[in-house]
Amino acid sequence: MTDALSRLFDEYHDPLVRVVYRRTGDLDLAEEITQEVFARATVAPPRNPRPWLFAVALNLVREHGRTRTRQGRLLELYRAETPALAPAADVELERNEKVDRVRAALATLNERDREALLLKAEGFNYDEIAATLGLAKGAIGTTLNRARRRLVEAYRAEEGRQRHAAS
Amino acid sequence: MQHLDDGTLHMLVDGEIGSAELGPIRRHLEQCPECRARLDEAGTWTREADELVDLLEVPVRTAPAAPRRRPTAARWAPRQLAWAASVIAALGLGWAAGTTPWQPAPQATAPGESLALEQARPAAEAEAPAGADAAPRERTVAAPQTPQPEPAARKAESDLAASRESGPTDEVAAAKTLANATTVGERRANEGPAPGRQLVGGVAQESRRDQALPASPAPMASALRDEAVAKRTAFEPVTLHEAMRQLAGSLRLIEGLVPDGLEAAGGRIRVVYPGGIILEQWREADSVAVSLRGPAGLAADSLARLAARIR
Repeated sequence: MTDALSRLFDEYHDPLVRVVYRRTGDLDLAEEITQEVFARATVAPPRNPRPWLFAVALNLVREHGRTRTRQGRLLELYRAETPALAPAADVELERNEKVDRVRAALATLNERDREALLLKAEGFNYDEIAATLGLAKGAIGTTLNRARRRLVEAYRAEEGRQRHAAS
Repeated sequence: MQHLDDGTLHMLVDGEIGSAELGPIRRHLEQCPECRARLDEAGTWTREADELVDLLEVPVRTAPAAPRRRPTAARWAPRQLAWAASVIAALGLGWAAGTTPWQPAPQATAPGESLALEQARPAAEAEAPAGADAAPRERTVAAPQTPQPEPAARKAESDLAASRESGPTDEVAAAKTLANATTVGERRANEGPAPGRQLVGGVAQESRRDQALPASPAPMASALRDEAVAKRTAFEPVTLHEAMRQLAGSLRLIEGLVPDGLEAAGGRIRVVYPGGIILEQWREADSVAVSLRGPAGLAADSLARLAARIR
């Protein structure tokens, strides 16, 4: 790997894994997609690497969209089969439940809103988010408003649903 | 002037308003209590959403969480930051850029390997019906805590985790060569194996192999399984029906946890749970073996409690 690509790897590998992991919940997939992104960068080094790397990563995630849809159906099937959530036995289990709620809440967002939110969480400014997602900069504020409200509202709703189910 | 739209309010929260636009916006906020309240609300939504996203920490072998808020704050031009703080403070709003909403993101859990835990469950065998047409017996396998060699792909996975513990340079090198299981396996042989899962039944002898042996794939009960586990990318999503078919109807779940999905490769089925918890299971003759793995930072007794809830 050239020095320039090595620097790209050092700077962006972990942030890419983080964004893809937050997007998919699958660490193996996140690392594989990240490897694929850098493989593509090796073939065609980007001039504007930050939006390019993340755009490629998110495109690869969308290619797995069919997989996520199938897993979503499995999730519903499991919910029908699995007993009601037991009270958390310790902090780690409670944290897992919180993470589960956040994922469920994120799943209620549309794809662009979700990606904009995760890129913002990674420190992207509006120009970078617009460049990565192919949106107009003027639309980013509205997108983030919608995403943030939806995420929080969906999380609170899921939290309330689980508390009701546990009572 | 019309009320500020939600997009503009979020641009303001995120420091994306240009200097030319700040003046009119500031004057409007000074005169409009409704927009001031909505600005405060936008800040609350932003802070709460950020806290929720922060919960989605990468579970293992990664760098600390992104310095997300530092680049955001840094992108505020000094006069914007000062203006925002002064306006918001003067207007008596509850937050300001550079204060509560902009706390540094919490650090991720310390890098480390996933814990592989296989518990002995002699009671599981007692549960099995005596009839010949009963579902395959299930058993988990007790793993000694001492590190043991692993098949090439598992070595690759564990080696990456081990190398991440040793520092960024090794981490990058390991990540770059992850696809080359042999190379990683050779490195594993030099570094020494990390704690890992044990295989059962016909491959139990692997657990007694000398750690100094060269990193070659261990003998496996099934050549097909050997080939599959040697390829990290072999696990593919599967339907519930297919998973149960492969396990002859004995798919095990952790009671009380909702899984994200199912994956399969070479006769092994993974039930993937949020937070990096993976329940892997496979047929061994007339029984089903299971292996439970959790993220780094998960206490051993927490993993044991999860294992006790496998049904």
